[in-house]
Amino acid sequence: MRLHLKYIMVSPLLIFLALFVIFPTFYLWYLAFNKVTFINLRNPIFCGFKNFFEVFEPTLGFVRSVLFSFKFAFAATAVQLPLSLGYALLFNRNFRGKGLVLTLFLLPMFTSSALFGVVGRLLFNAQIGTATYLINALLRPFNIHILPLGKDFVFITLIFLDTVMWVPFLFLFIYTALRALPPDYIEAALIDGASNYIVFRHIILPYLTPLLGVLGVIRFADAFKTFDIIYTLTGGGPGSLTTSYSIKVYELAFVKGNFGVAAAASLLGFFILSIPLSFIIIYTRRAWRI
Amino acid sequence: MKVKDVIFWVIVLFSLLVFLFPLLNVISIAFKRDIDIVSMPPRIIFRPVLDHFRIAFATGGYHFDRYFINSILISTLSTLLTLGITILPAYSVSRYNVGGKSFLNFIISLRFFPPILFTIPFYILFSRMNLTDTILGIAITHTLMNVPIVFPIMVSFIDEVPKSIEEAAFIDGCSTWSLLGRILLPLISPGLVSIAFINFIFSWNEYLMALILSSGKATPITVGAGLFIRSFGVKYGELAAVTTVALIPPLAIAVILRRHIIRGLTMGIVIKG
Repeated sequence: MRLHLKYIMVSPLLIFLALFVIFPTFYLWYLAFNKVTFINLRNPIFCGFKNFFEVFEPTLGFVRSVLFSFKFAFAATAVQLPLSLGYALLFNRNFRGKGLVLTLFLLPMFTSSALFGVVGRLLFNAQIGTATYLINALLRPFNIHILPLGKDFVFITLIFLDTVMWVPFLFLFIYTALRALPPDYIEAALIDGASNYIVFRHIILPYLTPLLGVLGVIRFADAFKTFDIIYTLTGGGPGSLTTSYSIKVYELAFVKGNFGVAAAASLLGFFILSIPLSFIIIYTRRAWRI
Repeated sequence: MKVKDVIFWVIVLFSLLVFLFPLLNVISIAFKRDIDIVSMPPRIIFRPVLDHFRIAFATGGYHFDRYFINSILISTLSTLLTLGITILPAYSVSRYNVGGKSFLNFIISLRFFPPILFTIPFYILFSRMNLTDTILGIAITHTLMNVPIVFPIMVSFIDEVPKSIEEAAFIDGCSTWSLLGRILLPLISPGLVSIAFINFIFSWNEYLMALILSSGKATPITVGAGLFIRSFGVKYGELAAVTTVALIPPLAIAVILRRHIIRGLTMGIVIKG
């Protein structure tokens, strides 16, 4: 093999990364230090750190959107990871019709999250929503009437829809790992008289912990930057109740046309996410040597 | 034992109902007449009609036929681009460990960058390059989002091809390029097919980049369906029909090629571990 050929082979990817990752990243930093609006899109005016200070103005609502994203990411991970583990354990056996059941169970992970927001809008609609009707029919004896997309329940509705989309995804990885666990360990433990709980606590869980850690980090980061499903379900509302970090940056840039402030906000939000995330990654790597 | 089985199936069927209910609901609305859509309690049995599909895709003047074609074009182009820029680099990384572990890690870590970071520079740069509202522009952004997912899968597919085959070919006097074309490519083609379809699904489902970069001409159907809510108020039937059609291609691929796609997807994360 000629030495340089292997470098020529990587070049398509390197060129692509340079053009569409490295250069835009520098450009984003450049924009963050300039005043750029729809009017002077092509001639930005340098303004130093002004954008970064402006991001924290209370009226802008950026801090609130970051807090919402943390809350959403935390709730989503806390609900979805244990639930996926439960389903992986449930399906980790042989039964008739398993192929069909698994195919159906995995379907939501192949749907577009933006469309899932639309789907949720129809499902939880105040007038024609089937789920709205069913929930309120169940609650009628208690004389309660709820609006799933109203301000009191919108967060729960959002987490529910997100869970339906993401549990199949997380389940798939946990289930695949479980299938790869050599059955001998479990059989040996059972022969020695271990209960199902002991097998789970001392064999299955330690085996899965590194994977659960990785999945937890990935899910948390993905949930933090969620845009699609929230935007198509609620548009960030009612009011600005469900405005996530990504929706806030989108509004600043593409609704208000304030690209400089939006660039600063997007970078700040990313760093705010990165700090706890890198701590978690370092900690999990040390704890489980992965 | 019997009781345990019953409990198991009750849980399984109940879960399936909950997880698929949102989809079943939207499909049923798409086929209902307007009068059945608004009737409460919701009708489970109704006379299905195709009116909403007809209005949304043909007679209503909504352009959803064009959005659907745009989606196909964007996803196909992005798939070709992704494969085009990752096959040779993946071979190089797999066989010669170019860039070492850090290069592969860098590409995987791109997945953690929020797409919203890229929307702002892309919007301005693409409008300068006249790439906004074009199939190519949107396909490039989708390629960027898919490379971090597809590249590690591609590397592990090539890792699986035994090196001894290549060594034998070299000894027989095979050049590098014909080795790649005649020996490696046929061997990894099943992997390439699953990668291609994974990429197609992800590109089809992408929303944010397409939303900011399109304004009618290159709008894909996911963005079109999202806009529909804002623009046309309470046309629930048409909205459901558009959503149903937009959901079908990825779901159909997932059902038909389930094994291949799952193998590809789970491979991607193995490397991460």
